[in-house]
Amino acid sequence: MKKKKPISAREFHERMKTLRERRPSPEFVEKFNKIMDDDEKHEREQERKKKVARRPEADL
Amino acid sequence: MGRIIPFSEFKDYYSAARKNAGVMPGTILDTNILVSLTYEVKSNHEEVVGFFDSLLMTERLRDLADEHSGVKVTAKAKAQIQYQSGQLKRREQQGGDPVFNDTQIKNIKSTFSAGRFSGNKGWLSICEEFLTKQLDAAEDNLSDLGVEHISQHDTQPERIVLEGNRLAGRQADRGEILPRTFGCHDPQRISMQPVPVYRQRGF
Repeated sequence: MKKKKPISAREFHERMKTLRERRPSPEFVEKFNKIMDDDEKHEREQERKKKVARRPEADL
Repeated sequence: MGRIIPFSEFKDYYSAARKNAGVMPGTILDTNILVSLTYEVKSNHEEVVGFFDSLLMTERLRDLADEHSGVKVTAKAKAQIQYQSGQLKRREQQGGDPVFNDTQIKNIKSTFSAGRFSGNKGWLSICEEFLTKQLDAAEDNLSDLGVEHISQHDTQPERIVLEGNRLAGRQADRGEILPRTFGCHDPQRISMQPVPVYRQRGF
């Protein structure tokens, strides 16, 4: 197979620059935020359960 | 570790270097490489990948702590990133590379996963987004540039370095220029000479 002509140093530099400047994808932001939202929801639920357990009537 | 020469001071540095009898003409190959010397030179491919991995992680984590990132980072995680960034800044001022070390990354990681309902799901998604995809792309770029990661058992490393690295090969016409540039005559050390090209701050 014929060897591909190498890109120039400038082209390489530009590609690496773009790579490092790449912003998080919208899919990632959505996925990550959903995980955080689920965590928060779970924490709230746990807090609610704790509060209920602390009420005097819970011992009855 | 090389010296940091800002572009604004390059002229002065260059003229002073030319007057220095210990510096050979032609040892400065390219301003890219000059800048790249701000990072410590690594001696093998694994170290380089590890460095780039840390660099990407450091930059992306610091981005996450930014209020405009659009990513919901907990206050605890944000505070940890900011704290570790402060530590990093101090280390940088002493000449260290601008990357979080393993301990710092572990500390940050724990704020993303410890005691969380989701466990380490959030952290894994960060790794996938920031590392896996980008490291693959970086390797592809190096390959397209024609950089070859040579074996330490190769008998003619200098020849391969000069042929494989277009940036150096274009401007260097003598094999000894590379080791002299990097202050090192050990072929194993220069075998990863292309490395600094993608370790410069300016990318």
